[in-house]
Amino acid sequence: MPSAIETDNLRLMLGRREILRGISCRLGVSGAGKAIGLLGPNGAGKSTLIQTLLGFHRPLSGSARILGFDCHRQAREVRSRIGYMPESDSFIANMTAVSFLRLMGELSGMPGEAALEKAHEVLFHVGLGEARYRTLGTYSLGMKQMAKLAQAIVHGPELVILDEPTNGLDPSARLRMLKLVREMKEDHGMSVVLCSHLLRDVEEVCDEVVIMKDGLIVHQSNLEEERRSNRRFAELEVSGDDSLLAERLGALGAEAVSEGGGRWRIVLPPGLDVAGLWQVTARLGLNVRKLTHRRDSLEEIFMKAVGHLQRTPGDASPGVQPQAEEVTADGRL
Amino acid sequence: MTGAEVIFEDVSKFYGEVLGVNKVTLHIPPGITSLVGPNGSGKTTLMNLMTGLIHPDRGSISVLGLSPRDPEHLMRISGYATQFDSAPRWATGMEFVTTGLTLYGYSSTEVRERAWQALEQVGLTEAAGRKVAGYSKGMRQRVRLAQAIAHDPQVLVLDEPLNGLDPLVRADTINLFRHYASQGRHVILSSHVLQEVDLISDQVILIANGMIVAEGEIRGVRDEISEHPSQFILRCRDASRIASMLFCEDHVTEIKMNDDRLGLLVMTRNREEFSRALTRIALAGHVIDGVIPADENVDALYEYLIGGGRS
Amino acid sequence: MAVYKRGYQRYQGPLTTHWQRLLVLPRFAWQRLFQQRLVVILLIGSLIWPLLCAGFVYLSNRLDLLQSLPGDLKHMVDISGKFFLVFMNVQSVFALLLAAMTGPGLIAPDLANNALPLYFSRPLTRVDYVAARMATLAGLLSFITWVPGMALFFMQTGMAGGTWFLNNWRLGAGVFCGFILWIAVVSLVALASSAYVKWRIIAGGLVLGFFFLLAGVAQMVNAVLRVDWGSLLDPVRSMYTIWSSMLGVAPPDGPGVWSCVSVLAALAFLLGLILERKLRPVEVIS
Repeated sequence: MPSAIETDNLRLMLGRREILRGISCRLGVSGAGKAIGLLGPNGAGKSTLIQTLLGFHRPLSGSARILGFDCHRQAREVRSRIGYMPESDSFIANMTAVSFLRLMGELSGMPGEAALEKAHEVLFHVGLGEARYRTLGTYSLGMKQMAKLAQAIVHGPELVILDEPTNGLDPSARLRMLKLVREMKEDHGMSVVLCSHLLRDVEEVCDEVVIMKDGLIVHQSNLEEERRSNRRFAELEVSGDDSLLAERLGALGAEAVSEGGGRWRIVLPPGLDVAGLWQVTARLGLNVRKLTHRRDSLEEIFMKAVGHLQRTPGDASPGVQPQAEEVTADGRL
Repeated sequence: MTGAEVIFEDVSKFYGEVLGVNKVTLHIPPGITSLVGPNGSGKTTLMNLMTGLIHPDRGSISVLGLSPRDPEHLMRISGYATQFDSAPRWATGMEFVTTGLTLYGYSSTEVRERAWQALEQVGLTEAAGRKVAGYSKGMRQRVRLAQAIAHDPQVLVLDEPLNGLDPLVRADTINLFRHYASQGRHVILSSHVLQEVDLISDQVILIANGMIVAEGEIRGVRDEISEHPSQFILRCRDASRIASMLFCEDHVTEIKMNDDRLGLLVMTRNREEFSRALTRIALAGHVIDGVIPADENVDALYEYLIGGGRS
Repeated sequence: MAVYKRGYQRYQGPLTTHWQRLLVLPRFAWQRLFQQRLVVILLIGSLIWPLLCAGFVYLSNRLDLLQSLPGDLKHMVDISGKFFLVFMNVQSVFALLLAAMTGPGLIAPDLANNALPLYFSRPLTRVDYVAARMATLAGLLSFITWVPGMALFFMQTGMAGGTWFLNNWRLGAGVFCGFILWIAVVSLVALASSAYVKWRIIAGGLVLGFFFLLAGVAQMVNAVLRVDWGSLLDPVRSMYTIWSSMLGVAPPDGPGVWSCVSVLAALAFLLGLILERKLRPVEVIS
């Protein structure tokens, strides 16, 4: 199955600076609804990569393909299959939402009646149903973001690129937006590229993650696999006197690091499982307030990938294969 | 002590017919305080009132004992970074910060020193010579922050300061705020990213429709909302069995089973008792893989107290 | 009884062709424009002169009626190159006014709220976009220029017969090509003005001012430097020269037809360039 996005040593110059310095990756699977997170510090080249994928720039060398089509030479085929939600404010002030979406739908190749139907359908879907006959200039920021999302999906694309979709949205609107993104990939089978600085959004929604820095990809991992492989790691929060916890766990071969306030990070050896953990806490008279399995948070992975951390807590353990960091360069599952 | 607090006493502000804030009473101690609320709820109005940019129709405000009607003194101890993204076209980063500073009456050497320090703290020393109009969004955010901290204010008021910053810069900026808080200053910021609010705030103020819905420390606020029992999410294999055992406990009010039958959502009136019950169940041989308190965070508070809008 | 689950479904139907898609922008623009009263009034007003001219054509072919006219009126009703030249002059003014009124609203709204990335993330190139905007203007302007012009020409042919046609087919060609040239230049000026100036009224004024200003500059250059190539700077005059020669009327003194053509071509090229510069989907700041 072809990948959704595939680049091969992609290099790009803007003006006199080389912004993309050789990006190679294979992300997503064409036709399977997956979400890919694109992360990186400012200036890493994320927006430039997106613009290159949309065909706005011509690569210096190397290639970029979306759904099997070359981004520069077959830009028309690419653009008729993808949707784009830009980060910056983008709308046409004196059109009603319905006219705006009709225009966008027809420009993407939908016939007139279909465009009108879909315009209404998608406006209800994103929650702008009641405001759809008002002009876009009267919309609030959250509504404009939703309208931007609507125009990205009105023509039913196979792949959608969302650049900072939750920017400026208040918490309820953010939850609605993330729910819509999840529905897009799960219910409608669209591939989604989510570019965001809010790691939590990416963690909640994405299956794969790509981290860029200085024009290169510095990390690529499959979050689904990480989530499945994390049985050996535990985060514990207890109330009570936990001074002897490290010792007791150490005696059983587990490595435990205290984070203060009753919070602990524990790596369980192969012989010890969660039941054993409960026994230890019970014997020490501790109440368990929280217990989860998580290897590394996306934040830790990010910090390590861009060089701020030497290693993540999950790296420390003996006898455990670091799986995610070793995903092969072509991003295969 | 009132001398070290920001106090709103029954403050109302209307813009003609449009509501700003309605009968707000607040006592904000030093430390990091987060203002949380939907768009249009009055956060920016509160910030403008605090810094003296507008004056209330009713009520009084006192910032560390100073009144906002005394801008000469108030402006010296407060710094304000708004959410609005405009800067003069001709200004470079350095000029943007120094222009504001000169108004405070520092000598030109001191102005340059302080400006440079502020730019260092936000990490913009390399780009200081470039025009602000050419900055990326995150850099413009940082230069506004630099301009607000350059004169070393006691009260920092920041409207969505972390918006558009990448995770590294976010972490650095948060450290800066923590540093200020540890020095006993006030850092008052507004944010929509509730997870961060959880992590960094000493106090939280929830505002909706121009009125204060809750204020105080997060755990404390949660404890006060007694109509809502505490929620816990359990990951376990033997869900139905564990559920029936939990129902025997009298502090448990409601249990919902997950679709995959591997998880439970439990509501309980007594967290400590619940914890003990779990330990008993686990020791009896039932596997409990995960325990997650679902609502001791600002997300839950927001949902309970402000909520709404979810389809 | 049945329960229907209806919500958003992905569109997976047939797609329109490239040509149909090019017409989308003009269609929406025309729809919007025809809702504006001033535009409709100007359009109708622009058709008064062609109607009058049709009357003249009719008169000139009905000898009986012609005899009953007073002498000097007879001269006016002589259908020749001069007749069409006058027609073109009048209609070109209306065309300019119409372009100044409708042109500014075409590109400025897209730039004001940064809608270009939304357009260019669809199968639409920059050339497509400019072509679509030009087609919007060209369609409107054609309606009041060469369409009535050709109608007059064929009316005359119909009434005057095949011989007249064989002798004067150049007039028809001249009217058509002359107007096409004028439409092209005026559209480019209007679009460029719309791309660079946000406020509609000022952009409209700029369109008119462009031509007046250049006319004035041309006169100044001629007077001060005592040459006559200054007239090359005046696109209106160049256009008039070209039309005159196409319609067989003596062109005004000054630069010849081919120099006028080249100057106009250069102007069109320049305008095209500055349009292209403004319409980047992404701003590149080096």
